[in-house]
Amino acid sequence: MAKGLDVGTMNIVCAEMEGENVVFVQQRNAFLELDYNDITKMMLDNANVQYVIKGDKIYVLGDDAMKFATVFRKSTRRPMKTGILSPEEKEAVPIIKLIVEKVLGEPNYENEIVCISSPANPIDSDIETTYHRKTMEALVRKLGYSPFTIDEGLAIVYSELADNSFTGIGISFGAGMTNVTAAYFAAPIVSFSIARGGDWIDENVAKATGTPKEQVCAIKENNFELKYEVELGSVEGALAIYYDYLITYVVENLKRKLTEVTPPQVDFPIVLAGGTSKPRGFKRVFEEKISQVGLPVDVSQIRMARDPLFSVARGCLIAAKTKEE
Amino acid sequence: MRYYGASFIFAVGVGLLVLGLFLILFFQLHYGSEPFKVKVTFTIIGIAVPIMVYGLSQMLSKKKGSMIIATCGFALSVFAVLLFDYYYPRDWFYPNVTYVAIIYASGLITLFGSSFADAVERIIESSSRTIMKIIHHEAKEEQKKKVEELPPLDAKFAFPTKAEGPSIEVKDIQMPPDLKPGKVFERPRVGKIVRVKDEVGKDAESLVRVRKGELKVKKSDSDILDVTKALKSMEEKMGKEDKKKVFGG
Repeated sequence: MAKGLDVGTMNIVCAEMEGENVVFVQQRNAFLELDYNDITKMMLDNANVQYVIKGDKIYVLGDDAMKFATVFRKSTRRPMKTGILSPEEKEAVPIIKLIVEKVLGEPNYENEIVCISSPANPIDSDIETTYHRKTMEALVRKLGYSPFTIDEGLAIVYSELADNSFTGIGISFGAGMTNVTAAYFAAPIVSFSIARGGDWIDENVAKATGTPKEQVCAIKENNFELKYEVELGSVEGALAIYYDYLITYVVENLKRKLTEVTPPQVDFPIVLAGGTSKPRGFKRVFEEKISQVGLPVDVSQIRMARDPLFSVARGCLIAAKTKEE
Repeated sequence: MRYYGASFIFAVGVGLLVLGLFLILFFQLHYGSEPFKVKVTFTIIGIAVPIMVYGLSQMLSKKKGSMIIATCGFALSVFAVLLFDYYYPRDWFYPNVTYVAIIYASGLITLFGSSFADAVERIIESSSRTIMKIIHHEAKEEQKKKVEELPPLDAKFAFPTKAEGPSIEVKDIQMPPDLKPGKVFERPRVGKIVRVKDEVGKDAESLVRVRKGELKVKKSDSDILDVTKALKSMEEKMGKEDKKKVFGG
């Protein structure tokens, strides 16, 4: 037995084998602060809501936090920001510890292998990922596991490109970051991240249209389709503009990084994953950008991951299984 | 400003109620009192109660929806009072009395219900503030203690390898002592669970074989061409790197 753990800005997902199945346990990486009183506590207990009490505050965790945020018209808080532990959030470590503990569960045996996804260092920001990576490793080790980390983009290559001898490009469009890895026979030749993702889109659309960020996120996650004919002034229009900007930015940087390394002249399929890549039409826009910008490799195919939300966790599980005795 | 308006409505309601009670005493109302006196007194009292509750509701409600419900309740009560004025005393018998009473009661129940819901929501939601500074400070100190200087950045992970233990021992991240997890956290695992039939084991075996250089057998001409291309490009790349090493640049 081994486990894969995707620690993302928006979701924490654990993948493990159970007979012939892979079981994914997913939890939102968010919490909501409420004032403590007995009525609230009783209400939360009756509704089977995940919460913790600290002093005179109640913290509602995970998916429930998102639901309650909509009801109470409040903003959720996130233990992570731009792919790493949030330095602005002082409760980040205890909260993320609790979520990880409950998503991973007890180890099946002492020092069970866990592969954790980690963002690569971004090329457009001075964010350093070492603290985040080491903290996550330490946290998982203290739970009785034997952890190691791999880049998020590489996890996608492992998850989706087995049929192509793990050669190709994996791109994870997450909430906090976009992670890219180009691999050749399972070895990364380029691995980098961009400090922009779904949250960046939400923030900019919210600013541009004067719509609350939570509402923008809800529109984006519910039936939004990425197309070029947009209504100016609408949230959908602004979303399309910022999606287009993000995709262009990623493709241009991918071209730049691939040019630096002189990649082998073989076919490179591209796999797109992550929650931000879920809107309909995303793949079509990405294909158009690739054909406009042009990459210094032969792109044989562009496709979506089988399940964009679970792809990284699955890749981590594959990596973890290769380390089993 | 909304609070002043709502308070004013409430005060008007109280005033009218006091006036109505005063009129009961003043007219010394009884079963055989003049219809005009009964009509005036009970119209005033009948209007006063929904006005008071409506004022309260306006003070509490923040949502447009609950304001609309309260206004509907108020309108129903006023409508019932107007019906009373219309029927009394000539047609003031069954079933008109029942209809008026039901409409009036429905209006009041709607008004009270809306106010009660707003009050409960306020109690739950009440004045959320940022975390106490002390907790912030404690957490900061705790973090400082636990994570000291970290070793320098490793090279990129060409292959997943078990992470080397940090050169410093990281203490367990203790949960703050006053942190009490809710009932749900008594379960061993919490989260949305999805089961998918999957051949992860096969993919993991392929990954091990690829890493060991045991590439799958290439049979077709195009496959052989691909491998040739790959080897050539690797050779070229290695050649360039060697030149760089020898000549620099």
